[in-house]
Amino acid sequence: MLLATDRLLYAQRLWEHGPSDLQHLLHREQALCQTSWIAGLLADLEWMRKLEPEATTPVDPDDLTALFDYWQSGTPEWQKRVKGAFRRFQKQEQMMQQMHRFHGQIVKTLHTCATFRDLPFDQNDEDEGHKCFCGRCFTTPQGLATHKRKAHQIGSLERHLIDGPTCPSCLKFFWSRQRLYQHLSYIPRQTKVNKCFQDLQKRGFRVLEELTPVYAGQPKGLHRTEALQALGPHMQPKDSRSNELLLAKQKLAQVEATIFHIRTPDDAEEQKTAYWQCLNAVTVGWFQRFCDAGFDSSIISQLPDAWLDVAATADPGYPEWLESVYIGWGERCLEDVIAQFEDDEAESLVDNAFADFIFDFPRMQALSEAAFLRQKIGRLDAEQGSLFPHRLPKFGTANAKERAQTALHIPSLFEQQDAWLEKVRAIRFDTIPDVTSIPSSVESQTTLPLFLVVHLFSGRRRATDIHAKLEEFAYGKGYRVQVLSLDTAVSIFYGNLQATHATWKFLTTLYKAGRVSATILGSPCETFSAARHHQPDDAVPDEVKRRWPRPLRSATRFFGLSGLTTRELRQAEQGSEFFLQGIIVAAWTLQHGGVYLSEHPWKPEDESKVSIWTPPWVQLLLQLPNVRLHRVCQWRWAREL
Amino acid sequence: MEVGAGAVKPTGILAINCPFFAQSAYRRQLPEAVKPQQVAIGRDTHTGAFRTAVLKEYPPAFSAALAGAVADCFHVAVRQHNLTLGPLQEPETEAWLKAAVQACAVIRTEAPWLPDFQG
Repeated sequence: MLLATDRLLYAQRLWEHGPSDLQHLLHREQALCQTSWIAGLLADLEWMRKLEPEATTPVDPDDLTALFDYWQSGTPEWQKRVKGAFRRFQKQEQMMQQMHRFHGQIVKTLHTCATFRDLPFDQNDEDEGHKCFCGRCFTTPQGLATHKRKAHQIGSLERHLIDGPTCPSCLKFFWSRQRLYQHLSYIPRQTKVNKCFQDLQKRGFRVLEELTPVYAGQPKGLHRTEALQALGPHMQPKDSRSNELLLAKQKLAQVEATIFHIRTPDDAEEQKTAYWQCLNAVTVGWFQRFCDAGFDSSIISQLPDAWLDVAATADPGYPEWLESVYIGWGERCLEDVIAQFEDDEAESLVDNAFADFIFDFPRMQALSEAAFLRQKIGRLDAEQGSLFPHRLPKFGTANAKERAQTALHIPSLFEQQDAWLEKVRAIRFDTIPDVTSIPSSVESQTTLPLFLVVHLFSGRRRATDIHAKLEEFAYGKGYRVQVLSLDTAVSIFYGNLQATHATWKFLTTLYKAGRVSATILGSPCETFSAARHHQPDDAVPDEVKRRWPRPLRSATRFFGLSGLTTRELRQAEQGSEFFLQGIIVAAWTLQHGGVYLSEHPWKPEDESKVSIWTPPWVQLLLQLPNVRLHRVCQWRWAREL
Repeated sequence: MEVGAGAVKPTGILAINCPFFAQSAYRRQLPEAVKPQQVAIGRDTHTGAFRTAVLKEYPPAFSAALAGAVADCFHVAVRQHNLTLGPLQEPETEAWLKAAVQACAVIRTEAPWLPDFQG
């Protein structure tokens, strides 16, 4: 980027003061050479054009005649324009660096309580070193790879395919294991598939622990593709997944036989109806005792015994059928029974107790196994013919042409944000956070539990706001609340939630220590609002029209559209920061427990428009069972205009 | 006179560890609420202000619904003893917390609606 700026500034000086022979030479070089200086200049002009949306004399890289005249006029405006574009580019990149840091913080926090699959390597994580899951940290990826190989026996993706210097798939002899590894790990840029690797994976090939001894000396001066072709015999073509699919189908047939072929009594329907009625009555009776006992949750332990007692006199000759009666009652009747309780806790207790109760039933185990096998068969069916995950092809350095293109390209995190968002979107949880308790402290005077509630972007304090309502609801309920309503409308100092301000630092300390019991969040929606797509009426004066808010983002360019002014960029940056701060708070909630509610306008109908609910971080959180996105309409709670 | 809300305002609520949010919130909805027909887009012809500005603050009953959902979670956690004790922090942090709680306690109905941020 510095090179581009210098070249653009130098170009004006060259065309204003430089000798015409030199200008002629540059044009000849451009005509004869792909990597000419002017080719670099054209790339720089294209870069600058994108950064100058409101320029009065825009740059046209396709026709430089007007630009040469402009430069030769000796105007000082060019320098201002180049430096302005440079500053805007820096601003964009600084913003994206900050977003990458926030992302790193989110992933790091979630990593303390969960693990991920397909976590992409983020180049901007290099600042924090290359960490192993065991906690050790390395300065280079090579160091990390060596450590994983030696300490954890985790090798490369191709390690299990390498036994000696001959490729088991194509039978080429490569003289060393290292060259065979190169053969199996190389990804052609056109097909993007390493055929030998895919072939061996498909066959389920795996080498034995004892590797074949090979010649110790390393051959020198060999090209990657040089090898000796052995004649055979080749392995029989087969797909190991076909065997697995066949075995899964056979197993499913066995399990389904135990599920469907059960002995039933002659009057099965009548008995089942009678049992279900008894189970309904027993459950309702338990709820009455629960209420009488002052909502004492410990008496839930009595309910499974009561359910068992219902079948105490049942004929022991039909155990599978009896289990199916219980499971059927849970599927068809239990929901209606607990819906009558109108007590969230009781509903949850009974639901969980029933799940635990039937968990050990052999029939339940068989049903679970059948569900698992059906899912496995579906996956294996879908995977038939698909490729195994492997490496990505490397672009940009393979040959002179690619290297020239790479040299002309100015890397920009801002321009590549959509690719980054796609990478983040691919992250999946492997193990999930399971902290559901609520952090609290003890009020010194009353020794009652004290909950700290943080309401971020609360707006001004009112007698009917969330803060006041929380204090009202806590009264007489056996606990106390301490509420922080943080907004600049409440306090310029304490309400300043910018990431660099003292308030955020203290909040970070409290969150990381697990002190916050609940967070309510209404992060500013100004830069996300669908109303920005509304065009002004014709009656609106031109002065107002010029200042009319424009869309700043789209679904694919979440952090900002191309061509934003510096002011708009600053607004988008602040909005993005507040959004990601909200996600960090969600991650802390998942780490330490507590309640989290984030409010924001619902998604627009047009999916290409931005919404705070569609970026990958929200989608990542929504993979968790304890995270739900609700759609409500506020008019249901509103009384007056 | 009860004439309904200013706009429908469909809203998303991302809830974590709040399994009964929907029950808690809808239990507190107003039965007499009337669905409005307007949309909050553009500027008000009389005041010149953006129509979204008046929707920045939650209606009182909606505040009650959100607070109620949190309070219900606290209530269940207390009954089930599902609490973890957060450790005390450095004196500086505790002092900040105390001062911040005091600063937030003051009702400021007269305060103006501020823009979210102007960059």
